[in-house]
Amino acid sequence: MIRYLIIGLLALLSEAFLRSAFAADAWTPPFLILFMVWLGSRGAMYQAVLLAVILGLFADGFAGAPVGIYPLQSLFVVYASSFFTERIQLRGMLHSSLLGFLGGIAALLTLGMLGRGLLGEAQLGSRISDLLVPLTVMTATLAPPMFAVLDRWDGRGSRAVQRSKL
Amino acid sequence: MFLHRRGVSRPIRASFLVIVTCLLSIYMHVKGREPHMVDRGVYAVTQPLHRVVSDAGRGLRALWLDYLSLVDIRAENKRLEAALRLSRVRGAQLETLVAENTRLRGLLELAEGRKDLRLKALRVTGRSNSHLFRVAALTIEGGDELGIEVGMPVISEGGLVGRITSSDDDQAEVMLLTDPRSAVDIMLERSKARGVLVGMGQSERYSAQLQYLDREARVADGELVLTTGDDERFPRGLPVGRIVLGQSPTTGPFRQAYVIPEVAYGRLEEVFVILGRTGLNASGSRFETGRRTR
Repeated sequence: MIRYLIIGLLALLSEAFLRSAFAADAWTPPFLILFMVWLGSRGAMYQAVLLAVILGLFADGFAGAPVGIYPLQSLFVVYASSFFTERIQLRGMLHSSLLGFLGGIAALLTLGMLGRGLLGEAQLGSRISDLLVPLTVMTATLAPPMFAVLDRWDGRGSRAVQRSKL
Repeated sequence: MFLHRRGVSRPIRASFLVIVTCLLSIYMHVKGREPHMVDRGVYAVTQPLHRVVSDAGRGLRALWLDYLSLVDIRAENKRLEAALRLSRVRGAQLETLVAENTRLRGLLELAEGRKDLRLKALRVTGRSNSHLFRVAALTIEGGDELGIEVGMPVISEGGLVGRITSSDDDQAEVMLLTDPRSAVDIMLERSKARGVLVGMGQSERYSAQLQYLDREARVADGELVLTTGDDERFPRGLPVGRIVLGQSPTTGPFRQAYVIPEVAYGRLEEVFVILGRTGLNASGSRFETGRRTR
């Protein structure tokens, strides 16, 4: 759990760093969403829900957004990822890319719903159309390499735990 | 299906709790129109970390932009250097043109002020220098073909330069006032004292000796020296130079004096050769009935 929390925080910090470094707001790699998609695809839902809440709170703090928006988004992405993982009958990169794409759509949907439902004419709601293409392109493109890295990292960690258990 | 896994109810319960809490928090935020206690708590915990990361990102960005700026500056520097070289060349050309314009304007004014003289503007094509780089004689373009004859006076913006000593088909030589063979009948502008100006031929400076200056004449140092026209070689009233008084001898009727020419021989580019008289007076307003030197 701690290990995933650290990975998630690293993903979030990397995203924040790149956002301020390159000031390419819409085209900043959405590492948090991708991490949530990856978490959801792994199936450990209780852990995923907890991490979604914690990392979502951090994201709210980073963005200065009303507390609750990013936890809800992360949660929705986790469940969406979990839902699609067992329904998409593809393998390898294509599978990851499609999951990433759907994760991006899910994230935008959450923001859109929250924007319209709770925040009225929210700043978030008005940006959905602007974010659609960049976000989905970034999630679909970056999902395969990021999932590969996370899988590798996760497998190594699991093996280390198994070794210590043995 | 993950819903059928063991312990599936826990995440769903937790998720439900999270959703309700989050929606409540957002609602409170929207209703209160400002961050509530939970918001402020989350911001207080996360902002320092975010500040560190943002500052690092901005630092990297600034570094990158500075680097790009340096690259741009280098390219711009090359462009500016090339532009500066071109500008300097053009500036030099302009300076030359301005100087030429000034000289020609001076010559024009001179010609406008001496409508009694038939003037021919000619370019200086050569200089004979002394061993101390003082001009000893000038060569000008144009000779017999243009009606240039030996003995014709040569003037410029500053005044009398000298006279023609030889003339070919396409060039002529000018003997300067400072040449020891030169002698000009002169008078002083204010005191009207007269004398003969004879070149000294000094190799280190331009000067001529003023001979036969009356000892009793009230001459001021620096007084303007003009031609009298009495020698019938040079028209009357041409500026020659400024007088420099020397120590007067204790005996004798004449005073010792020198004249420093007004003309800068080393910088002469164009001169006028006086071909003769027009018959008009100096301002060109009427015909003169007096004598004519040429």
